[in-house]
Amino acid sequence: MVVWGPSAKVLAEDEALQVHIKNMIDAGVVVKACKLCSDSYGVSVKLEKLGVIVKYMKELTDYIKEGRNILTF
Amino acid sequence: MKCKILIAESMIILAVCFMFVNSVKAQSEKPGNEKLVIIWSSADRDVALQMVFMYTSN
Repeated sequence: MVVWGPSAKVLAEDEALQVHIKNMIDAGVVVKACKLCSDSYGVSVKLEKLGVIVKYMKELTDYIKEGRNILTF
Repeated sequence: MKCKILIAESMIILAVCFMFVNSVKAQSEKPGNEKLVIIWSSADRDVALQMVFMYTSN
């Protein structure tokens, strides 16, 4: 799952959502966040503490090129 | 003699068709299709709880 844009801010501020994210990570889901977005909201450190991989998401282009199934909300 | 040539040609055509079908099948079974990427962009809390997490958990 990729946290992209405004969702980074919501996640950093909402404890209930954070619990869900932690459970997902524990279950083996890889959760990444766009560093450019999370830096702009000033929440990168908070997301990293949750276990979210905060990085520049150039690889999204690779996902599209590989033909991966992508759902966007 | 003509029969042998015809049989040989049919075998070649069959072999080419088989290879073509296999290459098409291999292309559609790319590893990328095994995983789902969910991009969560919405700032709506309900979208996260009702939609994003549901698909991610499943």
